[in-house]
Amino acid sequence: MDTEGTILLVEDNEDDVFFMQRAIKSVGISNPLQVVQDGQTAIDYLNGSGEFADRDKFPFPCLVLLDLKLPRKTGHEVLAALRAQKECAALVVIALTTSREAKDIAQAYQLGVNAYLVKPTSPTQLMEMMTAVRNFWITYNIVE
Amino acid sequence: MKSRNVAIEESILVLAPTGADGANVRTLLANAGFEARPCRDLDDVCAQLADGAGALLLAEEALRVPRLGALIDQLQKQPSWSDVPLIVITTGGDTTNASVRAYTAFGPSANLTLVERPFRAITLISTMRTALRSRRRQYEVRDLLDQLEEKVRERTTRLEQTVSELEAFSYSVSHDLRAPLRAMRGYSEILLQEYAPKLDQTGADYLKRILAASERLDRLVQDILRYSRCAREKIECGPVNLENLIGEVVGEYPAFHPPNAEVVVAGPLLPVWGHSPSLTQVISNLLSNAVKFVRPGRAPKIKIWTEPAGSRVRVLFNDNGIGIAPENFEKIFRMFERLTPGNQYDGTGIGLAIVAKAIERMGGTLGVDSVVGRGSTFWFELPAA
Repeated sequence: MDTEGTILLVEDNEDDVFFMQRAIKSVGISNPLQVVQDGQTAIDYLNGSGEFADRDKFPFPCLVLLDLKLPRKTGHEVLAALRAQKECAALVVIALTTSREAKDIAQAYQLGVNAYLVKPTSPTQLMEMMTAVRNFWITYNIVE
Repeated sequence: MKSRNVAIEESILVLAPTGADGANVRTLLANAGFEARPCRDLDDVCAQLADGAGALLLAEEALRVPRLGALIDQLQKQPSWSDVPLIVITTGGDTTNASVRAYTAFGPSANLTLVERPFRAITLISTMRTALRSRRRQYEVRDLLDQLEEKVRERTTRLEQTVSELEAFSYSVSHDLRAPLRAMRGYSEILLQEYAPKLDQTGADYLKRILAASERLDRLVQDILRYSRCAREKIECGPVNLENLIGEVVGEYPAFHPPNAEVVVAGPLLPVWGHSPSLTQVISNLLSNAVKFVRPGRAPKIKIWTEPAGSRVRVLFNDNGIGIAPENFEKIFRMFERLTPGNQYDGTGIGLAIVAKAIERMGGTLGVDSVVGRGSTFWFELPAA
């Protein structure tokens, strides 16, 4: 059980960031949350480049919640970039997107996403989803 | 388009016996301004004919070989626009029946004209001219057909492009509508949960209306997206066990369980050839409609069974709902058609359009039988697995 690990949320929509922060708090996920708003920044964060070099301030995450439709670099590009690196091979990445397009889903799995979740429309449903994420990915899933 | 050799298409393939007669014919044609291509034998005629020709001029004597069958065969296999004129010079008079022989040999397979010896030069020249004129028309028809085909190909490509652009457009618009919608819905829900004590009755009521409207809009957008996916995504068909599939759909939604509804599967159900995810959508939409459109206070009851229909299987869904008037049987499968007024029955008017599109894409047919007040039987047919 990793309640210390940082969760990295890659999401450009401020409302969705707000709903996620609220849902995480409501379902009792105590892990610290970091938010980046575009794909390139997500890659920089994971690489620890630039300001993200300070790993005390920006710890390497234990879980990434990745939107797919993002500015600068898409979620798919982020996936491809991070799976190409040894350090990120076992990093749990969950796609969290509005797209149900078969193409997006297939591509995400090909690029090595761990799970593919479609954003629910209501905060209550989002809380249910995050409860499931907590139980499986944070409580039971073993990475190392 | 292939390049055309006009000289070849205007030329006459000549197979005349050697000697004076053959030389005469060639001189005669040359003097009249025709382009003659002499042939060695019947095989050579066949070979040169494949490249195109305005007409064939053969002497009857040259036909008395077993190879005639090959030429007849080739004449029969001409494309629909082509009927190459064939002129055969025969020996006339009462003593021989060369003309009859030639005529019989070709039968109905050839566009045949006989010229009997002795003939005047002008007879042969006018015959050849007529033949070449009609042949020219045939080539014109061929060119027009080619142009037409080319045009159809171009337009089809353009249409397909436009359709796919439109579909992509409608998809991305619907998709982009969902983000602000999610925010509206989310904030009103949170407001209602967290600020309820600070709102009076009227305020809470307004908020509930906003929430209900945003939920409706969300369902609408999601249905449009579902329809769009159903119309565009690749479908691969295989054998589908309907009993399992229906069991899964019914299991997933409480609306299809007692006491909300009773779904009876009159098994065993015949397996069909279809796309399992599309069929899940079809069954779930048909069941949703069946449980939705019932008289208030009545428990929905749905019976599902299959019937063999030749090489296909008909799957039927009978309900105890409000029924549909015959004049509306076709309307209900169209996008945004809703027959019930206002808010009596909640819906987007897309559910059955999705069903129709999915069935169409799996190569099936569908329909409905109904009596107002007595329920409906929706059915679809798919190939048997």
